[in-house]
Amino acid sequence: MDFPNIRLLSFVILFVFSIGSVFALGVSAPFWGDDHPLKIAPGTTEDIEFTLVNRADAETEEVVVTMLDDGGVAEITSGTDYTVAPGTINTKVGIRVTIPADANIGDSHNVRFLVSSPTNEDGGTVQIGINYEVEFPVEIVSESDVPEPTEPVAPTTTTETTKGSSTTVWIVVVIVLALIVWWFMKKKRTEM
Amino acid sequence: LWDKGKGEMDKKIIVVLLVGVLFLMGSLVSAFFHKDPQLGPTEGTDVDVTVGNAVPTVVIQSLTPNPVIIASGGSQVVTLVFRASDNNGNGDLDDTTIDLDLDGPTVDNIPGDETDCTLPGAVIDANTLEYTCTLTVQFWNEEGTVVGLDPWTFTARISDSAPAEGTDTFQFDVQQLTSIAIAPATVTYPPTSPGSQFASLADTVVTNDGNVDIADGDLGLTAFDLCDDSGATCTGNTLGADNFYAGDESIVLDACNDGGAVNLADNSARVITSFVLARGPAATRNVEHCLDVPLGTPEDIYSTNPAVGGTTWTFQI
Repeated sequence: MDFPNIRLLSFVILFVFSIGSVFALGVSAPFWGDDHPLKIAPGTTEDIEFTLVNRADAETEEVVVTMLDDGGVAEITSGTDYTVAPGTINTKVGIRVTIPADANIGDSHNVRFLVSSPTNEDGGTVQIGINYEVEFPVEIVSESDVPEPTEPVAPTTTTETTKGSSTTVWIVVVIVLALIVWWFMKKKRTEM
Repeated sequence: LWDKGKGEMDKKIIVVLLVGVLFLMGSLVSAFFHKDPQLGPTEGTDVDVTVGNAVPTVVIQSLTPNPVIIASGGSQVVTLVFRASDNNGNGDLDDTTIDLDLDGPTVDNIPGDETDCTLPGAVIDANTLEYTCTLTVQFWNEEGTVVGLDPWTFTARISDSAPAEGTDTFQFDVQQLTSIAIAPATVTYPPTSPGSQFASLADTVVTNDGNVDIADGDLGLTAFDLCDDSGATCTGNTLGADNFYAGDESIVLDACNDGGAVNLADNSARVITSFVLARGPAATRNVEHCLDVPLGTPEDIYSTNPAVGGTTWTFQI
């Protein structure tokens, strides 16, 4: 076999091994853009989580997360290296946002971090991975403007509870009346 | 005598006042806690009792998970629990009228009905049933949060035999999902020769696996020089990244630099112009690749494989 044929065979092998592979990665974000900022009050610290996700039919991905701009208020608390298994939503990137007590209400900070995953493929001429530059604003607001977590309303009282309340009121009424009678009787006795 | 008479008078007044107070308070309490059951005699000695229909009340107990986080290209089953009460008894509730809606901030709607719930509902008490239902949010459904003032809304409705309808709503979050998949994850060229241009053997198929529209200018490609296979470090021959071109599928690559294909550069992100990929099921678009091998390029095998000191190219959003 001459030299060019060896090259051609190598190419065919590389090509065959590189066909059909799917490389996928995603980032699920609780905060994004100007309309969905993290609202936080001066003097408080909040831990938030971004989620690294993957397709069910893709390979397990090795991911590196690095801070590009902490905005002077943020730090990554969950490390730099992550493994994202196919179809999972439990790989969390923890970010701690700390606002000093003397921060000005109305100020805003932009936080940027890079989510990077080189492909595991080693075939073909060029291997391609995926990067995301994730960015979210931190808006400093007064404590009263910090949104509360949303929870469904508790169930309303039942008929049983209403009956109970009625009985209680009647007992109170009788006691009050008894006290009034007792007070008048005592007063009369004192006068006599 | 006057004092004695005055004392007797006081006692009578006190008794009258006590009876009056007792009657007044009893009336007030009765009026406050007991709604008029609409009972009333009719003609003659017959007594007809008419119990009015009570409108059902619905109280949403939980929606999980909240926020909704979805895997790339996947879906998330959301479990919804609500209680329905009817003062005419829980038997008056009509399961077949259950109507569910998950409504996105602008366009998406995921409807549901009793077939999405476990029936019969669990008995909480004589008047109340609890229903557990499931609906599925897809990866392309739009994002929205309470904080962002564009939340998703869950609405549960049920009617009784009258029929009268009870309803309740609850707001929840669907997180933003930025996600793409590429296939294949490599670009392969046929054996080439200096002074010629070659299209790659296959395009890169980019799939939008998230709920964010990819607009023109959003997708970039960062290239790096290719290294020969002489060792584990890139110290031998190299093939510059600036010999490569990439373009949206709408571009016809008769030549590498035709029709707006972008010329790549070493360690520099270049926008794939005209690449647009809206969120949605099966949203894919191709990126084409081309290599212009310069004259004088030494015969060798070049790649970006890290095993030979190369650096993986990256698509980025």
